[in-house]
Amino acid sequence: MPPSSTTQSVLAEYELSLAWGAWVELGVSGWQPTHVNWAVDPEPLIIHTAYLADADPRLRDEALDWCIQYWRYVSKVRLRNLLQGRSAEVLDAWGPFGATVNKHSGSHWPLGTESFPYRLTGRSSLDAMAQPSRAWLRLRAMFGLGARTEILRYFLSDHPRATVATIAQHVGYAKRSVADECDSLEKAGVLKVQHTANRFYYTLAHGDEFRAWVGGIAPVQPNWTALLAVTSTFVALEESAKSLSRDALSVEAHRAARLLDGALDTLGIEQRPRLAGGKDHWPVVRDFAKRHMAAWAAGKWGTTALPQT
Amino acid sequence: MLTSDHLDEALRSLGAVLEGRGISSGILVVGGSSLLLLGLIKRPTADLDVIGIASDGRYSKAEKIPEPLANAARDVAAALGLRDTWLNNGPASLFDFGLPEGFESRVQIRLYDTLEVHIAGRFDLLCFKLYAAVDHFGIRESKHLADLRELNPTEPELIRAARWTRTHDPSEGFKEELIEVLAIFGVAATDAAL
Repeated sequence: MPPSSTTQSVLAEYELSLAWGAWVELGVSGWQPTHVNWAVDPEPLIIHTAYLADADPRLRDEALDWCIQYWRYVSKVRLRNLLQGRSAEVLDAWGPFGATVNKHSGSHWPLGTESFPYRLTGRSSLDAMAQPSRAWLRLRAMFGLGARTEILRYFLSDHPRATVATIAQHVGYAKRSVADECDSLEKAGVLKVQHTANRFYYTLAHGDEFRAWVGGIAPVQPNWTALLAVTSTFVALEESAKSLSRDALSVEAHRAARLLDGALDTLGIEQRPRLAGGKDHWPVVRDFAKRHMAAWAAGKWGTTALPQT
Repeated sequence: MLTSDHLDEALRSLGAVLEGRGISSGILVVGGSSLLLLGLIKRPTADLDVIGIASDGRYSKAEKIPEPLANAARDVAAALGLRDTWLNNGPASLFDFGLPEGFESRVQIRLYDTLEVHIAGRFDLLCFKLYAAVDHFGIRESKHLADLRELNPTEPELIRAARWTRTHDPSEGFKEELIEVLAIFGVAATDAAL
């Protein structure tokens, strides 16, 4: 349900709507599907859901139910890599979540601490993977968990060609693993390599045929790590707005907008908050965040989906 | 350039940001910005000169601006459209040969949330300005000479300040130029007086 505009934590509610929408696509029991056009990437979503646990315990419980039932489709290597260098708050939230999944399943997810009392809800269902929003899970069912599958996901996500370093940066696996798997995929004829200016660029060898064989892929394919970094930064700012002075909030809003530059680039979002030196920056940043997050919460993507100010 | 209003806004923002991040900081400042904060001059200034860190009632040389403070200052600069270096420890070497005797008792403290700005007193600023004026002597339109004039120092004050500058540079060349600068203010200093 879209939050009312008078709510103090409107961005936090948009973020929860986005998370719910994504989980429903993966098979979590929830409300009406809103993100059928989004290809959902599980690991960033799982880590972020652990972080959102206090804001929505029901989301945490339903996500735990899914994780405990379908942990075989989740990469612990990727979880570990994505958790590396995350803030103490994220790791503190992750520890009990990961430990609870481990306690109730055969998983060995990394960095778990103390589990908490939990009873399966049994409401999650991943009976099929034909839905376009489950394309990335389907790839795992086809090719197994690992860097190889994530490399294929990268190329199926409208990335025409890339170096090993670029792929590694996007997929959450070590550069060495990505290099080895790219080499194998090239030998198998799935990828082809081009040598340009001292660099090796990989690309899909038979892209159209491969896409047809893999099946439908939802058209909205955001980089979920970048997407959730953007939403959590805006939500944290909104939370800070309740206690910070206007002067401090203005500086922190400006800083956040600068820090998110790379993530917004990764998401292909060219627009930026229009910040002018010396002005009160928070209203500008908040408006930018509201417009984008309202669209994302409703399962809409792209500049045409943005609500008018 | 920082006007009095800009400087106040920047410090207010810096203090608020530090408080929001749970950081306390104390800095000892000198230079044109200090004169501006004390209302002794009106000209805008390029930066805020930090020479010392104030902690537990003591001052130590600002070898570097502490990282959390430097980060916050950079964020304030970006948000307000100031130079990245608006708060710097450029003249911290003044600490090396000692500050004027009793300077601690003349410091004025301004509080900006969790930021304490310790502003050197008028006499101490006069000492530093005289030293800088001699150092830059011969450069037309030296801002330090102009600032000295704004301070409207008395002859005894200039003599005392001149003696302090000699502790920082005892060379003959410096003394000759010091005498010339004092003469501009109508003070006929003798070798013995310095």
